[in-house]
Amino acid sequence: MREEARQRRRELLLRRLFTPADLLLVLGVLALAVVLILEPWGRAARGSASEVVVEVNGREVMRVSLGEGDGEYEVEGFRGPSRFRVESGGVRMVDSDCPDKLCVGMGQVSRTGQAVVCLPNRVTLRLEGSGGVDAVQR
Amino acid sequence: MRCRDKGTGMSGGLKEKERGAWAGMDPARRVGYVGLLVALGLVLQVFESTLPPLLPIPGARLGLANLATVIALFYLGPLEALEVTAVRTLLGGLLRGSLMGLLLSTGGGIAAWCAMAALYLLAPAPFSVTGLSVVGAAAHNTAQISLAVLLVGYGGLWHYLPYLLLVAVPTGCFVGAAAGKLGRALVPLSLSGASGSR
Repeated sequence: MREEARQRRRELLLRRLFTPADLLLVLGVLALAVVLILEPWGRAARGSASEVVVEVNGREVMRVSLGEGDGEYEVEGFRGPSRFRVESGGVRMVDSDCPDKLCVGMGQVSRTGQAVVCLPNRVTLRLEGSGGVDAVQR
Repeated sequence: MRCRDKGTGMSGGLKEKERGAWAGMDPARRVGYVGLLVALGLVLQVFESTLPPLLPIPGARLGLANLATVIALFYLGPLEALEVTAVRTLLGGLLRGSLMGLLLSTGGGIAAWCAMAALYLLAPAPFSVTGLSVVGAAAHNTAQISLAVLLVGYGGLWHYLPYLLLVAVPTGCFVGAAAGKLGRALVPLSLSGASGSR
């Protein structure tokens, strides 16, 4: 790229640290994020979850019913074991073979559709429910 | 970026074709700067990985290493920025030691480059560095999630996308502001390799 073109663009982009167009852009991204977050709430009328679907590498390996199946479980993930606990209508990761333990830090999830994921170990704990409604008429 | 450790014989005999910093460089010097920016990006990436995770979401990082990409974009051009990004993410991924990390990092970096280069080439006028950086951060995070979904095979990961986008805004602004301040400070540097007089 010729220097004049580079210099012109450099000057354009450096003249101010924040422009109105930037603000529009930021608002747009924020709006998009908000829309993406709120959209599943429409489906939250599905009610609370009834079971945990445990998947390793995208394949289901076990299902645990909330309530009846309360307790601690361990599955073998891509790197090593992942331990999780089912209790109080939800599930949380207790320990997992991964470098950053983000999955443990996620805490407990208890709504249908929510999930705790350990990316390095390829383990997902997903909540599925059978209660609630299928659609909401406005 | 002071030229303290620039090393061997690139100081003399360079014809400055135009005014302005870093203009009209010969190819050897250009490669040297690409290397320097790769090193910068690597240091930032590694440093960032030592910080505690901002949020319990995979991929929610500051994206400091994009700073190197932005500087390369501004002072060397889009092609060199791609070189910097590609080499930095590949090496960084190797340093981390996980294949998944390498793929995610590289994918995110390349996507960020695509978005930023596109903006840079097609419509720089209404925006500033900050906007450019936000676009880069948003593209980076989106691509990372998409790749993660592909690799892990679990579509539920998309759940994280809006939160990553939310995080991309302040981190993009931060990196953009840093790049802006740094960029303006770099302008007075001359090509002869002399350190800036401050």
